[in-house]
Amino acid sequence: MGRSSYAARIIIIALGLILAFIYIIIHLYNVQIVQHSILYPKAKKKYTAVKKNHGMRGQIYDKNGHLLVGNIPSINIRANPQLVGEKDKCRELAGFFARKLNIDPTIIFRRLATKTRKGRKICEVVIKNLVPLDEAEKIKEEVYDRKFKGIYFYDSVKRYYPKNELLANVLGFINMDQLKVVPVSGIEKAYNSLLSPIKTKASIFERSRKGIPLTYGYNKLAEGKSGKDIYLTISEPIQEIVEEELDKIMEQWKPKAAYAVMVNPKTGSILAMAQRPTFDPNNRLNMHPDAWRNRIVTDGLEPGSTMKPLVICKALDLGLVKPDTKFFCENGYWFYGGWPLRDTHSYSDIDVTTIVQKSSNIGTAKIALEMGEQRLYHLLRQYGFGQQTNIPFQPEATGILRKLKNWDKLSITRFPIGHGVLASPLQLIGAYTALANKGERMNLRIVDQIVDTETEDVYKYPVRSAGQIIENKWAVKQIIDMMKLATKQGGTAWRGSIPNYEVAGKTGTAQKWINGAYSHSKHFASFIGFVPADNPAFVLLVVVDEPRGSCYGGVVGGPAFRDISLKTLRYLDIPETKPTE
Amino acid sequence: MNLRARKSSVRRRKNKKNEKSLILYAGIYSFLLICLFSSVFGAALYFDGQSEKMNKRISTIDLNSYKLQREIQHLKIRLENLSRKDNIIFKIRQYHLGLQTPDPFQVVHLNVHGTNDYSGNKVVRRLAYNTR
Repeated sequence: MGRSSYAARIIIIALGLILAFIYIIIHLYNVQIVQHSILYPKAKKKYTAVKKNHGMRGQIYDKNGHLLVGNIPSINIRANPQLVGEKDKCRELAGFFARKLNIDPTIIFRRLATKTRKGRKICEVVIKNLVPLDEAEKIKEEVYDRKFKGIYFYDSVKRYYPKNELLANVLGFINMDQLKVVPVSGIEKAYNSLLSPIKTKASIFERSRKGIPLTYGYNKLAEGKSGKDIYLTISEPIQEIVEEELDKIMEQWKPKAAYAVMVNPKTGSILAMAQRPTFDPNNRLNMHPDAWRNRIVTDGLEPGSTMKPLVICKALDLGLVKPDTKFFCENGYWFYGGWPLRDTHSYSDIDVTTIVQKSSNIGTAKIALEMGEQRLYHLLRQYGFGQQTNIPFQPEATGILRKLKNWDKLSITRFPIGHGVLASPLQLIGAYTALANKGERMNLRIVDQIVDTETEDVYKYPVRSAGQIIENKWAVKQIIDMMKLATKQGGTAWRGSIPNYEVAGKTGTAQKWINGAYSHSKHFASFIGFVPADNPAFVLLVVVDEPRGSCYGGVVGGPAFRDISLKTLRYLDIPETKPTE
Repeated sequence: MNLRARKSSVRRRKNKKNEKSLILYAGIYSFLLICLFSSVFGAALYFDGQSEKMNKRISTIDLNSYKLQREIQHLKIRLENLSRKDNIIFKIRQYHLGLQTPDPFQVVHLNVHGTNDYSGNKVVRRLAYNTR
């Protein structure tokens, strides 16, 4: 073998390697450059994953930060019929889940045993959705211990109301339509746009072959933005106190409904808002549609005698009358404008103080006549009657206050005694904030602040005045003194008096307007007042719809007013205004 | 007679030597190339493995954090649930806790400085209240 043959072989091998190298370069060029636009998306699809990040619905708290509506973690339990096994295994699984989850075993068995539908394999069936977390964890452990195959547990979240029936009519509730949240009533509906999370965005991230996200790789992460949290002006302990007393009213007087509202007169903040009947938003299977209507917002009632102090106070303010001005009360029967007006008792000459104390209809009507229609109408509008309040719930009753041009001769004598006017409980208590707040009416508010959990920004709802209705503080003091007398012995509201506290209260008993006439058997019994009278911590209204056994506001509403107020005063640590004897 | 010129043995040996050193150089060069590729490949594999381990750890921590957050949220709601008034009253009755209105002889009236009501009278505070 010659030298030339070695050289030739080396040259051939070298040429071969060079050709191979050139081929690799060309192929690389082809793959990386020429076919880049075709191959890159395919590769990216392989090594990236897309995940939708869901933000959470905002939560609702009371003014002290107690959670009223939240998102409780839960688990969806699903199964793959292809993997669970044959009928024996399906039966065993169905029995197991039926015991643990309290569901019908035949339904579960049918779902697990049906492997195909319309020629297609079924790969996932629902065992149960939204199982509580601790319950689901126990089931998971047992499933793993017993080596059941094809059972999967997915994280989920459920809307939960930890206080059950407490404030249910105000908070409202939501329904789920497929994966979409449908708010039905209350705060959940009124503030749905704030509570809802921002639309979910897709996260794209590079993953390893096991699917784990790679922190160094290509990432386009978009966190889902949660909804905002809402803080109400409601105080949970006070709400509990009010609801407990309403339960007693329901038990004692068996009415159609009962409700109570408590407001801070200085700010217009609603401290409690309760009604019966009510419902448990966590358990709506047996819920009656009548139970979830918010009657305090949607219903109207004739204020009855609770209207009197509002009108008489203005008459004092205008200087038309004084506390000792006397009026002849026609001995309890007065024929005016073609119709009789009666008092519950016969009175002759009584002063304004006694008119309020004894709740004389005739006396009040005569005071209103001094005022005149124009001023009376303007006053009632200033108090907020015939208009919606600022509460965000819809629908809200505007009540009925006829326009001045539609008044007849009787109107001026009937409206001041609370007849012929329809007012919602919110309008009535809103009007009384004027008497409790030195003549200045405050706009009602139920939401205190909104908090953005992502940015921690706080948006506070301002306290707003609805106007100074009574200019003269002396007039307010006079009417309060008169209302204090009403809660003492000899007054109609004595059952609402509280030991060691001065109470300014007024009862109301109004016949219901049914089928074009006033009913003699169906009434609204109400009691409204504020405590302590000279520096009120709150205004409280109690209304009972169709009580049985008695129809008088003082008898039905008075004791509830007293008990709620006493407990609330102790909770708020308000010092006694009268020393213990 | 063979008249073909024969290469001298010296030159033949020299040529053979040259051929051998060429092969040697090619071999060494190839070996070095192989070593280089192997080390780069090995390093890539090693770092890849390390980053996979770290990613796995990060993911595990993320998952634990997520689970803990869910647990915290769950406990918060359980806490609110248990602090309902009917639960509290049940516990008070169950454990016979003493939250009842005192008998009159049990009430001790204190003169506390600075706690006056609006009319300037000294205020007496109750020491307990009824939960029934």
